[in-house]
Amino acid sequence: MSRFPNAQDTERGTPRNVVKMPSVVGAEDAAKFNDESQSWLMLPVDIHVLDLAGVLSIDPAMYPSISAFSKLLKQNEKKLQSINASRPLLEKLANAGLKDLFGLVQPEAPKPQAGFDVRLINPFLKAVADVFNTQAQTKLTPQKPFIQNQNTALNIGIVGIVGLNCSQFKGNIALCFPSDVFLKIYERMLGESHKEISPETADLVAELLNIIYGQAKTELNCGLGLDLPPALPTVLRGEKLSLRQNSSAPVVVLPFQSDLGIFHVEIATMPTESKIQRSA
Amino acid sequence: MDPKLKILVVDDMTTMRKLVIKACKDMGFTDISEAADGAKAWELCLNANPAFDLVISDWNMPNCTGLDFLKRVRADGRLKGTPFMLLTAESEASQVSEAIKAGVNNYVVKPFTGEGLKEKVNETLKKAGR
Repeated sequence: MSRFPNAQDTERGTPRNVVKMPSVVGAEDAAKFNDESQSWLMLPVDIHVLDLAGVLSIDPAMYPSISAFSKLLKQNEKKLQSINASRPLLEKLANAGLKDLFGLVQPEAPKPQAGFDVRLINPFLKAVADVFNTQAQTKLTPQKPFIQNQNTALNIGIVGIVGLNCSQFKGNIALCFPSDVFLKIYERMLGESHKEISPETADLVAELLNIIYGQAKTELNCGLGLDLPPALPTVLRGEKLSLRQNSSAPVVVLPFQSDLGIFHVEIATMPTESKIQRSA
Repeated sequence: MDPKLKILVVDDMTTMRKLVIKACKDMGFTDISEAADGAKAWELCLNANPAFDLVISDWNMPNCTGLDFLKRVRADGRLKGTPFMLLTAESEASQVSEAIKAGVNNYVVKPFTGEGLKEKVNETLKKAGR
């Protein structure tokens, strides 16, 4: 079995050879890389991509092999790119002056997942902005949504979660805050300053989600003919935070920027029966 | 508006009760009771003498919903005239109809501002002649 499995794709429009790098790239891998990269040169692609997702470390003994491959590609008017590097690895390679050598690019945007309708997201986006503007006196700037993957690092101290259960799909929506941002919102709404989240303060997240869900539910039920029922949110803190997404459904992350900090909403749905006609 | 009026605030969320109580205190009310669900609220109503002058209740609560609590109040000979507001995230037309049929005096959809809630409280009390 190859140490550097590769596959060709055209997801970005241009044919690419994507090489999955092992999690620990050691000095002993240099020879194997040299051998295998020779075969990649024969492929009818102009871009070779090193997928660094999950890579914890790259031994400096590998750098000459990467450098040789990169130079060979340039000579043949081809390119080397590296994607999905974790932040620590990105910083290490950049600090070593290797950003150009590896052709490091921004983290690859998650691939669109089949079975997810953006018309389900928009009512929640609107409801979050409206609820925070009205109830929490906080203006929000939505950031670009993305689909959560194993490399997504999210700062979460408390979560309110409620099930999305209708005849068209099942799933859940979670309102997630870093602890400091949550406490600032609490202080703004209630006029009370707290150093840490307690059972007394924690139910604010459930109430905010209750209102968000109620508003979005009305729009989805009335506008799209869904049958989402009333539902009571649950609060997750501490060890229970990991329970918030435990299905195989793709999770869409909707980040929001505010003057009190960044927080986000997670929506995960799995269609059971789609009554929503997709646009062509 | 008489600041001595007795107010009952009902919501399963502590923070929401705090927000509503704060709005009521800002209006000058001092006699404010609270309950975390419709069942406890019903007990308070039965034992209150004189009866509450205004109930502000959430809809979705464990043990007894705000709607069921409203129906109990309206079915009771002594309490049936109690001014009753639902303060809720439920805003579908069918739910508003159901609440009106059950005898709600005012319906406030969350999210709300402090000023908006105070206006609705004033409106409800004025209509009830309190």
